[in-house]
This record gives sequence, C-alpha cells and structure tokens, in this order.
Amino acid sequence: MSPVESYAAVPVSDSRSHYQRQVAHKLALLAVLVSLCALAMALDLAIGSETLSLHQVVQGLLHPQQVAPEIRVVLWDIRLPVTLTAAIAGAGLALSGSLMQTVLDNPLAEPFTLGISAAAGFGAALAIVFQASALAFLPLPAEFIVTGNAFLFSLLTVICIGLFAARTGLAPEMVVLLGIAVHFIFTAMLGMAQYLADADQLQALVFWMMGSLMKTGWRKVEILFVIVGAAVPVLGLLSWRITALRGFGSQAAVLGVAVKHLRMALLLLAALMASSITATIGVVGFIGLVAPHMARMLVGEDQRFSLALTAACGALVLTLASIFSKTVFPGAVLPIGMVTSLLGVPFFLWLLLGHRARRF
Amino acid sequence: MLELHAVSVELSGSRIVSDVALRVGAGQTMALLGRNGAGKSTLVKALAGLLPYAGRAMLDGKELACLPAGARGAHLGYVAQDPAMLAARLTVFELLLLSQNSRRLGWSPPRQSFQRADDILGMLGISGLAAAMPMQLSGGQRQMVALALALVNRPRLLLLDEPTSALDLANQFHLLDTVERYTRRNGIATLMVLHDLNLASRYADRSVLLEGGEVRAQGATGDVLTGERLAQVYGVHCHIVPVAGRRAIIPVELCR
Repeated sequence: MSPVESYAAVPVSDSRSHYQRQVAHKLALLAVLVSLCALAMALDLAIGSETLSLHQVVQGLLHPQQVAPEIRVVLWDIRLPVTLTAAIAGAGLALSGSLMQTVLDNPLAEPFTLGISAAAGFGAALAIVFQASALAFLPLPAEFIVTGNAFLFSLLTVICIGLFAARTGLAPEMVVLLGIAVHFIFTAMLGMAQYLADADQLQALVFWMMGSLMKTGWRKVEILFVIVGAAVPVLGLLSWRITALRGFGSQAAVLGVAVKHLRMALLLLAALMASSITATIGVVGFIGLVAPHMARMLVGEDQRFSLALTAACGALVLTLASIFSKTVFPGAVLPIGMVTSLLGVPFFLWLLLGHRARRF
Repeated sequence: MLELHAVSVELSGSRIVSDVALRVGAGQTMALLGRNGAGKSTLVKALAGLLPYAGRAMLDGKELACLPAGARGAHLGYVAQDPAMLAARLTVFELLLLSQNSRRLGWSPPRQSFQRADDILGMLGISGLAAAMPMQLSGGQRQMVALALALVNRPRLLLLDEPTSALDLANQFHLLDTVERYTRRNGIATLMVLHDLNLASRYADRSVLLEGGEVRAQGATGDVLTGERLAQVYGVHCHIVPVAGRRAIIPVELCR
C-alpha cells in the first residue's frame, strides 16, 4: 500500500473536469465584469450637467443622426472621449500595475513604483512653469507639450532604471529601492519648480498632478487606444510565460522561459502604458495597485484570465470613479485621482475580508 | 548520458564549484554528497540553467547551456530545495499544465497536456491533490508535487536538490522508490543532492563526494562511502554494518 494513498482519493477524470469547471467559472466572471463595465460606461455617458436617458445614449451611439444635435454634441464631442479615456486608462493602469507586481516580485508594486508619477510631474512642470519642451524638435500642437514632456520623462526614467538593473544584475527588491530614490529626486525637483512658479502656473501644475479626465480629447483617446490596444494582444500571447514567471519565479528558466528578457519586456510595456496614461490624465493612483489583487482573488494566478480580469476591474473602477466625480457635488467635477482611492478602498476591503472569510 | 568536464561555478567572484568531472549513465542514479557549503546545490542549480558555469556539461552529447530554450523542459526536470511554486495561487493541476506549456503562445493547452498531468498524478499516487493549491499542502505533499512538476515533461535528466528533506520516513522511501523506478524504466539520468547517507547508499548507483567545491571521491556508492572517507569529509566516526543485505551507516561520534 502506498504511504500517500490517502492523497489519491479523487478519480483521475475528476481533476480534468474540475479544471474545466474552473475555466468555465472564470470565463463567466469575466463576462460579468465586462457587462458591468459596459453598463458603467453607459451610465457615465448618461450622467452629467444634462442627464440623458439610457435610451437616448444607446440611440445617440448607434444612430447619431436620429437624435437632437445638442444630444449628439454632448455625447460624441464631450462625454464619449471622457468615458473612453476612463475605461482605457483604467484598464491600462491596472495592467501596468499587474506587470510591475510580477516583474518586481512585489505585491505592493504599482505603475508609479519606479518614479513614473514624479518624473511625469517634473516633465509637466518643465512645460507649465518654464515653457520648456523636451520634444521641441517635433512639430507638436500646443496641447501636447505638457503631455509630451510628461510622457518622455516618465518613460525614460523607467527605461534607464530597467537598463541599469539589467546591466548590473540588480535583484527586484533593489530595483524597487532605486525607483524610490528616483522618485524622491524628481519630487525634490518638482518642489523646486513649484517654488519658482507664479500663482497661475502653480494652480495649473497642482491641478495637473491631481489627475483629471477633463484633459482628454479624441486625439488622446486614439493614442491611448493604440498603446493599450497594442499591449493587450502582446500580453495575451505572453500570458503562459507570465504565469510561469509568477508561478515559478526565476526557476521558470528551467522550463526555457527567458526570465531576464521577459522581465525587461514586461517592464517596458508597463512603463509605456503608465507613462502615456499619466501624461494624458495626470496621476491616478490606487487602480494599478488593487485591480490586479481583485482579479487574482477572483480567478487566481492564471494570467490568461487574470490579466483580462485585471483590465476589466481597472476599467470598471475608473469608470465608476468618473460617474462619482460628476455626481458627488452637482455642477462640479472632482479630480479623478482623488475619487479613485475614496471609491476603491472600501470595495477592496470588502473583497479582501470576504475572501478571508471564505478561506478560513 | 550526462557528462561533466571541468565544470566550475563562481558566485560573486568566489569559486564555489571547481573543475568537477563526472558521468551519469542512462538509467543510473547518482548522489551528490558532502557537507553544507560543499557546492552541491550550486552545481545542480548551474546544471538546471539557473547559474552560469564554466567548462562543459553534456547531455546526450549536447552542451546543456546551448539547449534551445523551447527544448529545455523536455531535457531537464529540476526539484529545488525550496520550490518557488509554493506561493503561487494556482492549483496543482494548473501548475502541471503550466509546466508543460510555459512557452506556449496559444490560448488552450493541448489535449495531451491533460493526459500527461493525469498520468503523472496517478503515477505518484497524488491524484487527490489536483485541485489543491501548494500553500494548502504539507511539506511532504509539496515535495511530491514538486517531483510531479519535474517529471511531467518526461525529462532526460532529473536534478533533485534534497528531495526528501520534508518527508516522513515512509514518504522518503515512496518518493525515492518512484524516482529509482522512473529512472530505470525510462533510461534517464538522475542526479540528486542528499544528506541522508543511508538513502544514498540504498538508492544511488554511484556517488560523488564534494568537499570545498572539489570532487573528493566518486564511484560506486559502496566504494565511496567508507568509514575512513566519511571521517575525513564529515569529521564523524561512522560504523558501516550489513543489515538485511544492505549497508547501514551509523554515525557514532565527532572525530576529535
């Protein structure tokens, strides 16, 4: 009799059917999350200074010529870019956070762990306070000077940290410490820029740092869509390897996964998404930290499902935050960065405590 | 099968393994023995591709370091001292699928992955663990799962780093019986780090005794594990007595 016979109580065919039931359950959860996202986006389109009915929203989206011109303008020119920005940026920040947590092997990592927010802030400050553009050689429209500066500084920061870490063989925890050091350097320089700014410049800079969906437009939606949209299929293709990295860590190399190259590629993807989103809407915290945890609590570590659910959670939370930012003080729109934490923390705690209750 | 020629490993500038040469034939099990810090785990990690090494390590005539990434899993099975999968929020069955498809670009795992996962769970007698997560398992169960993950790709070389360290007496025999049977039946080479000299004596066809990163002795396990040599390497007087047709190694006292 085998000493481990007690482990073998389950018939072999059951393990396969259990796995298949799990997959069906995860797909159902994903469908629910995507449906909730669609509903939240419809509500975000409907709610505003002039509230529309859901019927008007659907009619205006599907048959724009059949609704009144003012509804068409409100929907297509004002609200749709904001709603789409919320959904795409939420998904992108969540994915970026998930990748950072995997690459840095740190559950507390988020898109801004390596100093992206401070670097973007400093880049924006250079444009707002000193009217300096790091992209002066490009014929950029005026509205893109702040965005371009913020994007360039944040992306270059992460690339430099990543290359330095790869060349010197730094362990993930050392990379996090390096990121914190870089964050403080840019925060100090940002403080200096604020000190030198006049009242109007200071107001513009502080408002930029708070994060706002109101800075968006169709052009920015297109850019975000291209960057986040390009990352999604790449992540889909890499999802088995990312799961191997999460599941086996550096030992994934034994299975033929090029761990160093994969880490670098994921870091670049995360930085690209976080930098472009931060440059477009400012610093929006919390989503990149908690959306990956929400997804993992719901579907586990299989990144084929976890990454998709992470994106859906991020899109849902930022869209709900957008609705909340318009409704909490009628007539005013709160900066989105403030709202995400207020809205997300209670939900995350509920999920965390509910999950613990089920486990123990 | 596995042949090492002057394999050396350096960590942070200091040489941990020096000029190791050994050979493990098809269907053979070799034990890597030695005191703590002798370089056993470092050598195994290097062969697993986790550390760079100098020298030549050939598996079936091909340099290990030059194996195409996609073929590594089919050549190598590795059970670490502290398997990383223990913290993952994946079920044992998911881990077995992942182990076979870690470089896959498609969405669904192929049908044969399910069959292999079922087979290996059945072979090790742990089908009941398929839906469990490693963090919910005992140390011994995790060791069995780690072995299942190493074997599921049907490797040509099995590297085991203290595979019985968390197992009770019965499961030590069960795991090593399984490894021995698998090694012989499939004609693979197995290299395992062991601290229990009696288990090495029972299960290893050949043994290598490392000291300070260098090979102190190698050959048939019975020839390597002599009382005089154990006293020199471990600093412990041992009696070696025949028990039920086998050699039992009984540590008596520290050498003075």
